[in-house]
Amino acid sequence: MHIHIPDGVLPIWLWVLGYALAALFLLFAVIKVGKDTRKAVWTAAVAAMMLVAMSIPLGVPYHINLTALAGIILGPWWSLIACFVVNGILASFGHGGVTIVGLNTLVTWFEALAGFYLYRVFKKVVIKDKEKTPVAAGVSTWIALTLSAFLVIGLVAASGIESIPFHGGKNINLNTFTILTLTFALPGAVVEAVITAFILAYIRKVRPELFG
Amino acid sequence: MHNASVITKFLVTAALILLVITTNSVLALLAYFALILLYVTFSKLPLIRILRWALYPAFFATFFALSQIQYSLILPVITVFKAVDAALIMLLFINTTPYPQIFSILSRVSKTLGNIAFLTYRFFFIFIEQADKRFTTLKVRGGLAGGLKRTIRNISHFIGSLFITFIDISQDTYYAMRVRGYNGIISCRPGGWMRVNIHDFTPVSMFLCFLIIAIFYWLHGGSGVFP
Repeated sequence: MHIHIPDGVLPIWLWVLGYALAALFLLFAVIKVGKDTRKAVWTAAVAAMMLVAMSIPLGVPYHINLTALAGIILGPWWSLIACFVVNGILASFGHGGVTIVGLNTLVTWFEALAGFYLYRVFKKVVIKDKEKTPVAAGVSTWIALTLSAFLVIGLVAASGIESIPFHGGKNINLNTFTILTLTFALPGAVVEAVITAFILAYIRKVRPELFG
Repeated sequence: MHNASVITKFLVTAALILLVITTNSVLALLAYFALILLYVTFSKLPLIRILRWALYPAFFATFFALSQIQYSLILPVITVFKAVDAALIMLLFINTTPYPQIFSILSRVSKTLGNIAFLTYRFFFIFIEQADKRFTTLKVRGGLAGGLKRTIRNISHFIGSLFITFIDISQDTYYAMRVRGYNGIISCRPGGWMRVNIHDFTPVSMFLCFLIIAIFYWLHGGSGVFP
């Protein structure tokens, strides 16, 4: 998931830190990836695919992200660039705050990273049967998205929003926010995990050379 | 607004968003909202469509505002207005500035980032057209009916087939670009749109109006004149 918290809710130090960290990692990523033009075009295609997936409504204003899948396909550094571009374009459409593009980049990259490494571990250690790699992708996606939901809640908690005094010392209730977030995010993680597994199964059936 | 220089619009947009997110007054946020709508209309942008786009952040702001409602009725309103105002400012900027010009700013930071952002934007519209056609076919053929398991399976196959189409399109695009001399740099040279000009008065005037409201709020907010 990515943070749908609007502009002006998170404290300035947090989103500035988000931007600073994202910029630092992006700088490293840009140096690391070099000038691989083919991979750059491929990354743009995957980023566009993520944008399209985010535009497909699933009955309620909820969408899949395909960030874990992007991580599996692109690897750690290219997926960071894809996450940044996707979040930047989304923010420009009013989907997610502009000020939290940095934090959203980090959160979605975390999903991509977790997806990438978990998939590698599951594929090599747990599920060695090549036919069952879609299951590895599904489980990796589910774990990655669940972890990222807790990361988002952790970020909100770390922001100290709960203790922001308002109108005579009244506070925002973090517990309610946590319950609402998990109510949407956890079933969503299962749906996206199943979809990711099906996508990989489909690709393996139609174009097996793509994922080996 | 359309003819103002990108650099001025970019700086003004950043300043306006900063003003919006640091304001905690319903009246001030409401005044910003009215001003933005005025400039949207003045820029001859489709007001209803812009407002419809702003509903998306409003929905997610409401989602967050729900957790605030038990303590105050004003705080959730402020949360929603901040989100909507910031989104509208961004939409005004995006809808009055061609994307290549925006990406050229990013290209100045990193060519790789600028290129990928530009290509992603191009691919998005090609892909969304493909996705739209196939999604209609999926719906017409009953792909979204017949139980959750079948729906998820069909949506997955739909995305899977799109994915393969996207791979083919991106590879074809890459080869076409290589033939035309693409070497990792998509040139977007700064033209007149980068230079400060007389039309910059529009975004600057918008900033000044915002600033007047903000100063009034800062001066009187604490005394309860500007809740």
